[in-house]
Amino acid sequence: MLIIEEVTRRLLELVGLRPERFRVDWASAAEAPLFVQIVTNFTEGIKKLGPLGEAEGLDQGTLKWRLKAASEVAKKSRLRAALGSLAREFKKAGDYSPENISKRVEEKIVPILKKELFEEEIKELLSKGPISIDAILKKTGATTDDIVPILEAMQKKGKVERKGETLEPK
Amino acid sequence: MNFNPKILSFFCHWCCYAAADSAGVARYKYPPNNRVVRVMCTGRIDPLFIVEAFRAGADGVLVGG
Amino acid sequence: MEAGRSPNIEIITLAELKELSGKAGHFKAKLFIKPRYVDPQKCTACGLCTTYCPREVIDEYNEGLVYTKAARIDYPQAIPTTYYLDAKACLRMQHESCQLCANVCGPNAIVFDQLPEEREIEVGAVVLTLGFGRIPQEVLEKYGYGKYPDVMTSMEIERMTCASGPTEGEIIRPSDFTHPQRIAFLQCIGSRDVTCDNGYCSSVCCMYAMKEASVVKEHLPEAQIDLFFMDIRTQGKGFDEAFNRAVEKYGFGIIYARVPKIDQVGRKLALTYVTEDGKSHREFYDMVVLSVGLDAPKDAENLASILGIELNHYGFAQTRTSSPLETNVPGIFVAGAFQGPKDIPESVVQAQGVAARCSELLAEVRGEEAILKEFPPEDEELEALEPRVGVFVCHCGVNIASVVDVEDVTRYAANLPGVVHAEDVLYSCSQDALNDLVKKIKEHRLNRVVIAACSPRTHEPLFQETLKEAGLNPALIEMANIRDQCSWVHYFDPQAATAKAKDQVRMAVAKALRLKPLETQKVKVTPSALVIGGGAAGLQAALSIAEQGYEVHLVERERELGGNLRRVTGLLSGEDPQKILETLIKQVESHKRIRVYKETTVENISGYVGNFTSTLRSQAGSEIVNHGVVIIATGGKEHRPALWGLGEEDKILTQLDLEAELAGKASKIARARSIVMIQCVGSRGQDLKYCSKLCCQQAVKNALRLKKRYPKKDVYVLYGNMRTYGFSEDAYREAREAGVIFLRFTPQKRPELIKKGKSLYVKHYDALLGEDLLIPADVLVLSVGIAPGDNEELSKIIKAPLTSDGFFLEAHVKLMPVELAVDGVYVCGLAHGPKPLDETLAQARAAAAKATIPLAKGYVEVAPIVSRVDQQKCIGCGICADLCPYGAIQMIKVGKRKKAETITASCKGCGICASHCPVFAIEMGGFTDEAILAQIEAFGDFAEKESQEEAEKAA
Repeated sequence: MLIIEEVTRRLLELVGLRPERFRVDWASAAEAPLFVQIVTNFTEGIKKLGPLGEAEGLDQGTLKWRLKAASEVAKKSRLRAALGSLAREFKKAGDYSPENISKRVEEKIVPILKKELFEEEIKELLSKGPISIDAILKKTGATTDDIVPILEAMQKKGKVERKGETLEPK
Repeated sequence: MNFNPKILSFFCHWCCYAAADSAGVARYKYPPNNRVVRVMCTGRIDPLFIVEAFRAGADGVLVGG
Repeated sequence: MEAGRSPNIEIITLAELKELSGKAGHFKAKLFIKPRYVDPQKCTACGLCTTYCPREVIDEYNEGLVYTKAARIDYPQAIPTTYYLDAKACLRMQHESCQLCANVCGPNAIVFDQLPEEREIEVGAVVLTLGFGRIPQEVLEKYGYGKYPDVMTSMEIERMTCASGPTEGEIIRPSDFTHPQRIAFLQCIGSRDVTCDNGYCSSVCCMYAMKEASVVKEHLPEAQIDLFFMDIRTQGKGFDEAFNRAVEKYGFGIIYARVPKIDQVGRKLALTYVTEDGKSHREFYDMVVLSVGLDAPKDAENLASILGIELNHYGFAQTRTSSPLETNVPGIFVAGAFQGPKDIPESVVQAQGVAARCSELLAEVRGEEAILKEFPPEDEELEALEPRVGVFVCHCGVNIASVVDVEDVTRYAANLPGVVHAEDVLYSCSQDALNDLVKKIKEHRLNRVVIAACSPRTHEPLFQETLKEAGLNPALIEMANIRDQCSWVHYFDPQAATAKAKDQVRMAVAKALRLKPLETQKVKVTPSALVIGGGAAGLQAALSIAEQGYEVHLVERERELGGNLRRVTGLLSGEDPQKILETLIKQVESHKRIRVYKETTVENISGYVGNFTSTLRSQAGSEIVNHGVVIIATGGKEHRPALWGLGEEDKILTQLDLEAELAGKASKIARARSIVMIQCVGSRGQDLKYCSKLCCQQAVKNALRLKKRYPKKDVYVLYGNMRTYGFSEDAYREAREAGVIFLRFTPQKRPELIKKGKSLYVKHYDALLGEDLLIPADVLVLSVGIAPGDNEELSKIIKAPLTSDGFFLEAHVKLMPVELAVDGVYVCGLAHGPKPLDETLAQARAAAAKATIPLAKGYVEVAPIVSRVDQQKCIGCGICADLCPYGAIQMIKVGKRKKAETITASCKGCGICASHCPVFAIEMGGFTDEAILAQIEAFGDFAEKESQEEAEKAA
């Protein structure tokens, strides 16, 4: 669960959501007061953030298609296999310290998340017609380093054609 | 405007779900914003569920183990 | 809870045993049952009677710290979950002046004129589990309790630290309601104290004081807490480690002193005491906690005279080392603190052991009066129809309906897709409502049912059973929790609560549409057991299972049965351990249902609960046996560290070596004038981290044996903490009175061996004198502790984990003390951890009790929440098999490819496999991806609707 939590958190972060919107907490059957505290604090926190997108500065449209892309990513077997393998590695080694989880997820999963998510998003954008690289960067919130390899791969496969600063789907 | 967030919670049958029941028995109170999906264990939680919850319009997602 | 629900356990509360006649197997018990004044059949535990009861009384359940009402339930999880009236306080019963509770009680459950009743029941065996009593008030008064309000008992602190207790977990001084900054815990209050006739050690207080102090510290991080000990007795499995961790984490002060006197100075409590170095201290505290011991239960004497059982001189049940669960009357057994002070794990072990003992006695008539329910066959035609959902919304009297608009929710539910029938019900769990549910299912041809009421945790089994009665598969129900998680917690906002209830119902309907009938799988069981290890634990476990009527394969690695017990030559109780062993071996070897394999090892175990197959290897070759369960009783071994010159000189012995000497000519002893025993050699922080639990008893026992045989010889025992817990404290005192000299050392200044020529001396730092002493040691006896056996290989074979100390790790320390994480595998004796003989024998029976459950049932039933692998989708990556915490997924070959397969009998339904499957090939019964995603989607409808409303309002 700790690894799934971290991976989910990173995915949501790439989508552009505030990390406070997703929380994993623990209360045993005997800890009703703690439970109440958790739910109350969480609700208060979300209240402060406002509706989804507000604190993030994302409009509903952007939010919608980014989340759709994220949903596609969560279904990708490549990501899921990497996640499973990492969980397996942790179970064998037994070191579930937050630092270690964060480190290994950063190394093993985040690159896949970035690639899959941005690729998904770019495809989605391209499906609507030609678009400038600048616009892609703006819409996805990705960095140039993130998307260049994706675009190059797509160009190689002949899925996209680059005309100056504009990309055209093929 | 008074904003009423929509929160989806996934609670473990043995832990948080049980704690939520006890909170009821003891008549504690907490904000009525969360809706609950019961799972047998937080191990069941798939990243997909969380993303889908946000897609469905949740302002926050709480997983309780 | 589980006991409360079993159809084969009748819980008779408010009852006293008046008379017992007959003999083992055929007892008649006369019971006197006091009235409850509330009809448990009708009471729904809504709590209105308490709310309206005007009569306040002191809340004894909360240690008198707060008030409660005359109409009450002591705590919400009480079984039966039925309120009662306190007749002594009730205004109606005392003054005929009130009947508010009866007026507000919806189901009319209050019966003011209920009379006591007498009942006679026939039973085969009697088990006494009276628990323990309270230390008398006058003992506490010596410490100012009752006079100074801030002197409190540990029981009071226990309630105070409870989050649902009288102060909701806040620690406050009763005198002025401030937070105490300096707190002292005094140990051994009413224990190890001959002045109050409680010479024994209560065994549990050192641990609970540490626990309470930790909880207090969590609440008051600024507080400084000191604990006053005579000895720190944390001898249980893993206890030392937990104790030391807490001391380090919370910075507790540990003081070795018995505080004789407390007085109040201003707003502080002054403690005056003398430490081991002879210095006198006077320190001030804000609060003092008396760690009260466990007294004998108060009704013990009365009951003993009714039953004719013997009590020991402290008023606890008298038992023997060889039969720790039996009283002197055949057929009357004992378990728990009434047998002697003990903690929860020990009590649970004894309780399970005593169940095996009863089962042995009553094996012949097993199952004759067991209640089994029968159900009509499932209506498969109906189940195959398009989902037809019936929604039943419960008022729960006023519990839901006073907050949630139940009619509105019902109207709303009726219009949801797939719903063909919706109605509201006053009490959906009442018997007539359940009958009505069956009728409605048939009338409206419902094949999915949604109950919007309380929690599925408490009530789903009840409704599932009703579905079965109606010919529907029990998996076709979904509950919406609109009471515990809605009306009860959102009473301040009925509108929002009603909205939430609608959402939860909509989500439940969405899930219900995707529910599928699930087969409760039954796996047949091979009715025999494999017991690994032929020491005391294995022998007793094998014997108990065989006596209960099942075949046993008992495997022993050595040429002879008996294990470590063969080397023990005396017991504190005076019983002869070799006679005990001889009897056990004779019974085992002559038992027609036990097959003994000597000089044999277990090479491999495969399979799962109910169906294991093992390879047994001996010199003659290997043999395959099939069995349903496994008991691990592989024992431990004497730890012989390379310390203190052990093995170099024949004057240096271990306690077991000494036992052999004492049983023989004792030539080494006879020549010696001074014998020195050293405790914890190689244990507790040396090469073994843990405490071996029994060495202190063993040292005291052997010291006494020496003194009795050779009164003139000097016997010294050098120890860190003398851990003669329970009644063995008597022997410790006896040894001191007999002249054995006990000297305490600290971990920083452990004693050392000094050789001068041929003579041996032990150098010991004496805190009182402040200097080193040189003690002549003509014979040096080392208490070396117990090391784990060769558990690693076995742990790999059965896939059950070991503790960091190398012993088998139980599934749950308190609730499942003899089960391992793998179903169908149990542990007892030294393989579980160091423990003395009586505890080993009780634990062996506990393991036998647990192991016999699947054997007696004949099948293993698996709740249909298990995982199922779609082998078409499975890519054979094996991630699920590696991640499963229960070893419940195996990789098999299907054609040329590897595929995952669930071992249904081992699966617990956690779903880790499903959430980590790269290709969504795993389906969880009742919690499919489809169903959960449908719930999430249905949640979304709410979100959109509300936003629309908001948008409209804003516009």
